[in-house]
Amino acid sequence: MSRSMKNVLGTAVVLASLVFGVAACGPEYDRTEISAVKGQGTLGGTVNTQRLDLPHGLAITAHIAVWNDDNEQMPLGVRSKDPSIVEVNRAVNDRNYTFIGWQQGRTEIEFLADGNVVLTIPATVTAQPELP
Amino acid sequence: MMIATVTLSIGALAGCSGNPTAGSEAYKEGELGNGDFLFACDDGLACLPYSGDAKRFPDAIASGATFDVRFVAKNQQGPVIVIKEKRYEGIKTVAIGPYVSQGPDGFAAVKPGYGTVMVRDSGGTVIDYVTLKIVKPDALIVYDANYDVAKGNVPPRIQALNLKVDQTPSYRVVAEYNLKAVAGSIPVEWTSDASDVVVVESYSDRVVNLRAKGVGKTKIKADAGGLVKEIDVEVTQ
Repeated sequence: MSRSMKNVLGTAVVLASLVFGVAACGPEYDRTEISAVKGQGTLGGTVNTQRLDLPHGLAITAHIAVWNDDNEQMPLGVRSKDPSIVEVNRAVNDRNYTFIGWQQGRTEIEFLADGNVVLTIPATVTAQPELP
Repeated sequence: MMIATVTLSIGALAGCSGNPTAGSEAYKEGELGNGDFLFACDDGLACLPYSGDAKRFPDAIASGATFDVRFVAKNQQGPVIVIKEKRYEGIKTVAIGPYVSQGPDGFAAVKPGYGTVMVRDSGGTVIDYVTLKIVKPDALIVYDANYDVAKGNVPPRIQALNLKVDQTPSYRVVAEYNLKAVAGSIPVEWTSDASDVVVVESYSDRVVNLRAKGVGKTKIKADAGGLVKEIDVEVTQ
């Protein structure tokens, strides 16, 4: 290998190291926060980073944020694996999402940060409580 | 998807008799606090105490009943609203099944439970939603179609009729639950056991029009949602 070729390769290796090094040191996903959960009166329903439970035919809304390790919010996505059981919609106010229980059953909700799935929770739509 | 939508058109709103005063108990605040909901229908006692210049939002709606729900966001109604300086277009009300359904004539209370009516924009953003309690009526109240609802929610109940030949009385029906009239317009099927004594001349806009045809005794029946109210009728000269 010629000296000039070695120099080019060496430069490329250094540049690649820098690029990957920068990527490795950049802010990464740190955590998901779910707060300000609003159900429908006293009819039940909950959503947190562990699970979503929702009575049939009802909705629940929560403020959701994903944070990186620089403590900055990341672009967020929320989706249901089966919208015929639980549908997810944006709600008024930034990062508020409404979950609708369309039919009884189980599915999963995925939370995405920067387009990557960072959290998956089980979701269950249950029968409504009996009328008093 | 079990979903049907109706745009709250300006034309439809123009047909309303006007909204109750702000702060009236006719408004039920949405679960997200972005606006208020108004109950609306047009069927005497089943609707008027809650519609137009209503005094309150209904505590419960009869299963099988039809009705409408209007959304008011900070005095804004119609296909475009602004909340916190953000504009939302294509505002629609949506029934969340299976307790509430939606058709061209508005909403229907399908079965006992808690129903949800949701307001969304054309992009699917949820603006707000309201919870409706739906109960199964346990009786029917038949009352004079000319009853002035302003007199109260307890009209004289028609238990028996004494009519003269050629008399043409008109009646309405409201569903009852736990001895109280329940909101929501319910379709009723009227029949007479002896059409030579009294005949059901017509049934429109939820009003039945009877005609006393000849001297005799019989029964008329109002059948709604599996409940039947029988009324003894005697026709004299």
